[in-house]
Amino acid sequence: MSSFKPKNNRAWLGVLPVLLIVAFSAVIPLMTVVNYSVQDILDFNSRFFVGFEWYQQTLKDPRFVDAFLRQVVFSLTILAIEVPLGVAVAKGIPKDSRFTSLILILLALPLLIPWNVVGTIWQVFARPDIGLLGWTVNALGIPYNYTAEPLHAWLTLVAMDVWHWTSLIALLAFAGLTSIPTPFYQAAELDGASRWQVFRYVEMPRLQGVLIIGVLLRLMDSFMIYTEPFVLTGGGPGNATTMLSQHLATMAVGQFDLGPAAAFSVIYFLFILLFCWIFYTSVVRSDDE
Amino acid sequence: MLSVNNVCLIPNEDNVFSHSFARGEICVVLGANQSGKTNLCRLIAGLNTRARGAVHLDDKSLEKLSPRARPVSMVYQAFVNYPNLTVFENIASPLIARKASNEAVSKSVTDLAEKLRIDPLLHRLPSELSGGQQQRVAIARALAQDAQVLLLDEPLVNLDFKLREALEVELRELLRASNTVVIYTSSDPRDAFTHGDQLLLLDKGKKIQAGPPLQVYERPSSPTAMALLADPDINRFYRDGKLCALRPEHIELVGAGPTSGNAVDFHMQVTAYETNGDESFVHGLVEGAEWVLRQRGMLPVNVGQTLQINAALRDVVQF
Repeated sequence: MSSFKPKNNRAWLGVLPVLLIVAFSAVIPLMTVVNYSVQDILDFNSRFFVGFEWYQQTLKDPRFVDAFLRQVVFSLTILAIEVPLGVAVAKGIPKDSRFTSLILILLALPLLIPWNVVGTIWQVFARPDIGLLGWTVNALGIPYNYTAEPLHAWLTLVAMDVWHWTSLIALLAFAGLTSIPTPFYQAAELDGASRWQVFRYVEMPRLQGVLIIGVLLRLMDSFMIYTEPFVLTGGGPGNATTMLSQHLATMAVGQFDLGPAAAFSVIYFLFILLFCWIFYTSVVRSDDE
Repeated sequence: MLSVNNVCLIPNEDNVFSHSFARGEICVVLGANQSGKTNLCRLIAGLNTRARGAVHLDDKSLEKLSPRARPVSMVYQAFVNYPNLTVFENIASPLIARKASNEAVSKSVTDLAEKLRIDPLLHRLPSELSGGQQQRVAIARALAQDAQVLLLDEPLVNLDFKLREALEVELRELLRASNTVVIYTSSDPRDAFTHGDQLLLLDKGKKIQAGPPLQVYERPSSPTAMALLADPDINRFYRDGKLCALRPEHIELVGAGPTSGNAVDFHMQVTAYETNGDESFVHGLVEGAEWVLRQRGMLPVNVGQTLQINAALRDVVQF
């Protein structure tokens, strides 16, 4: 074709708006953070280049390590609960009943509530003195106080996240399930497959795709969780529910340690990237075999 | 013998269906869409359907049995296999579910795979196969159950023309050699002649005629029965107040056809002409009705002209 037409680079103009948006929304902010992370900033007129010092300091900081471990435990816990529970809920939704759309709307409700409102709802809901949940549990003779007991704070936090996000997995899984044509179920029925075998060999292969997306979304999102624990417990009692993002906010906004906070951010970002990559490649690779 | 008695195949239709299917014979159930073919299969298999009625196999009622407990297997229009199991595991799945021994499983899988010529593919996944091969796997899986009733619900519809022809011939040989009740549903009249020992015509949940295919072809009981076996549609006309019909392949241009003594003559106002070189279709108006005639080769016909056509008297079917 090039022999007929003069070479033409106009298509690049079409890409330009996207490049500009990505530059301003992602690349420039990220590079600013990288820039901060290698400097000691006393004020904006006196900065010193310190190389990787902040990175070394952050990785050795026990508060970072603790927050990181808490974060990993939290993300794995909610994934281990939300994914099976979401699939179970999706399997329970009738496919062609007149209540189907009502059920779907009800399921979607928690997803529509702003995060700080979710935190506030649970903060009140779980209060031992006036909250429905907290009062009931105490009335049943089980001492429960999420503001004083780290374990109770954790259980409340996990319950809150499960309440908030299981719907997402359930809706995704339901979409996956409805895409399976009925002959597949009928064939399995005639083959004499048990309910577990139907799930394992008919439904799971087709749910895989949506579940990968669901797990990735929940993994990234839970790793960045900030608002809900901040509203619910403020990271306490002590530091028991201080996740990475809250630790970071304290450093950057509370103490104004821009350099260390920037190094922290870069490490944080790379960890999320790494986890998603590990998860995705392991799933996709095992798929190829 | 499989008998189906007093079955209502289509909800809200009053038509009641009864028929007996013999062992060792392939019965082609021919009907248009929504004629109740799939409901008939589901009813026999015990799957969820709105059709209601009695099903007996050798005088034993199947009604109370779950699909799993029925000696019935089924092949669907869609290529239904387990996506994450290999071809071998797919064919073996009904046997494993019934707890057959390992040697028995691998022997029957190998046998079936050889018969259906998929033995080189045993370690592949269904997604790595062509449509024809996928349907072969599905057929092998159905045969692996060694059921007494085999239901084939339009199994070849989704295959392209050449694959379809190849599989048609093999399927006929495979199915003939058993003592099974084979029910093959289709909407294509050709299937009746390629596969059928018996033909059953179904219209709106009602049995309109049954018998050996050629007998049904020669002596259709009603215009609907005749039309179901014709492709394209039959041509209708009236003589002495009685409805008569002619198949498109039985009409000739005057001069090429039968001599005038044994023939009935018509004039056709040509409205359309189509040909693929091998066959030609001429559409037109005869005595106010839309007709179509089918001829071998190409014809010297122009749209708008009036054709002299005739047909042998013995080909005229009178109702």
